[in-house]
Amino acid sequence: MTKESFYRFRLYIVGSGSAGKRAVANFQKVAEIVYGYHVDLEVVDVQENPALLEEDRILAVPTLVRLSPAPVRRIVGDLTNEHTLQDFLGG
Amino acid sequence: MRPVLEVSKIPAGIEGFEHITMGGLPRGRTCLVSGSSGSGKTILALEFLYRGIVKFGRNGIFVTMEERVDDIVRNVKKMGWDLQQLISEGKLRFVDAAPDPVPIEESGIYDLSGLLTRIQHAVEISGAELLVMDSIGSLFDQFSSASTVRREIFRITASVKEMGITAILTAERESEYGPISRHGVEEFVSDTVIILRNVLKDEKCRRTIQVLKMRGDSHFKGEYPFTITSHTGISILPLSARELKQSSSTNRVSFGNNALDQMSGGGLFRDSIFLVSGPTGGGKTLLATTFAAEGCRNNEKVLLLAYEESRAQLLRNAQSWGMDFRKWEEDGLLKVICQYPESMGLEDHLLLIQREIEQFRPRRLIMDSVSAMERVGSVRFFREFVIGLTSFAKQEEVCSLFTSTTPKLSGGDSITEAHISTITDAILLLRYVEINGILRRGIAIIKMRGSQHEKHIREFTIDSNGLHVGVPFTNVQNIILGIPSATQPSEHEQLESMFGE
Repeated sequence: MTKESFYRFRLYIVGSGSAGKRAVANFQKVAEIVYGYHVDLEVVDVQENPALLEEDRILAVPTLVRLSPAPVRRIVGDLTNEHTLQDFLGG
Repeated sequence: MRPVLEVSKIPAGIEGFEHITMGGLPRGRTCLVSGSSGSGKTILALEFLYRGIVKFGRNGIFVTMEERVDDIVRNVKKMGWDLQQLISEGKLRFVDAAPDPVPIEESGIYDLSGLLTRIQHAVEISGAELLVMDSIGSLFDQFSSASTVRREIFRITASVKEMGITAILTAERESEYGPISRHGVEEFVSDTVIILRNVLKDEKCRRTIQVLKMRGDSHFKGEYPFTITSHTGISILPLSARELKQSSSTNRVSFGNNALDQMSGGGLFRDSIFLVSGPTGGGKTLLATTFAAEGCRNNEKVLLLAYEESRAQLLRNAQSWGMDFRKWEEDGLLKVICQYPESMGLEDHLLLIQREIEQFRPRRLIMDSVSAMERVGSVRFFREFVIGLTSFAKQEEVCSLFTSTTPKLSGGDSITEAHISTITDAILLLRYVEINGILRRGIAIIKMRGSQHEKHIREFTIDSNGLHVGVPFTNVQNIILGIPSATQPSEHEQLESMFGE
């Protein structure tokens, strides 16, 4: 397993919405601060992939799911609060 | 958007529900079911889906926001509802929105498009017409931004409505007679509001259901008792909602005593309710037994509910009057059910009696005594019980005899009589009469709806052959009021009696 794929995240957004775009940008910015490089991020449009949405039991959008390392954890919102996001990524 | 041409209602298939809602839930509308914890909200909502699918072929979606799907499926399995089967047939879908065991963190703004998308998707692939969200207020516990949750609840319910779905939302409330829901938002997104209560009163728990509002349509107001049984689900007892359509049969049935038939102008009407009131030991049970025996002799099925005597006592007494209850039971003509009134609540008693009547289909019903039921609940519950029972008996055209024990030996008012006398079609009084230091028995018919009846108070005696009605009392007054007194005999009679000795 390479170092990049050790940290794996999935971000649920509404494709057309601005909150999703902000969340992606905020995530990439803070992830680089915390990890020093880009990590695996799969961006999922809730309209496009209902099965995955069901599997991850997503209610709020945007939701960031940390798939790896275990345990699976989630944070919701457009990730504008950088401290909360840093805690989440570092925790 | 599917145009709503008229407010049509879809039946819920829950016993009694169509009565109190006058046909069911308005199609394509949202109904809020609000109640305190443990009031039966989830069961009601689930039964609505289950019956909708099984009885009416309408697919349904259950959005669970509190309980886990596995738990729900397991909990209702004992009622015989196989949800797993419905899921595998594609008729029922769960949308699992139960809270995560790990708390979800928040950073910045969000909405609930995920939940909305999942609901829309579930509706699309299952073609569902019915939807339940249980309970919508728990979203407030899952997410910290109350204003967001509030806005999203409006958005989700609006979307559900646009899809033409008939929905039930459930909401928790904190007190039985306080605000409709805890968060105060749920009722604003609903066209219909139903309240479930589980009230502890006089040491008895009592479940009730009330339709608080139904926008643009009529419904019955007031609280109706209901029960949840492990094999049939919810049964609402519509009591006064039931129409009193008096078919007014002109067929008469015999008391089993010629003199009584004569006194009543030819016997009881087939669909009438008949009350026998008397003090303890006054001959009520004998009268009831005679009435039962007459039914059996004419090959009519008789249901006898005894709340004061044991089965052995009852059969023995009947035997001593020459009536073979045991044989009639074996022949399937008679069914004797002996129960302690305290063994269950009044709603459960009523439900049991209704079930017995439906299954056994008796032509005569005897309840000895209905006054024993006074002990089980408050006066109000008791009144509802009596109304429920009498209207059901009438509807099924079961000629019913109820006995009522007066609190005093000399007669007098009882709670039973105060509440039942206007409902019954005929009333027969049995009273002790003291004349010159000797206790004698009096019998009188004081009411006989739709028929002439004798106004005399007759003397009657009881011996090993049963009940014998004799001649009317003379020279005594106030028998019925409870304190009989001799009237001054005329001079002529006085002289006669003097020389007679």
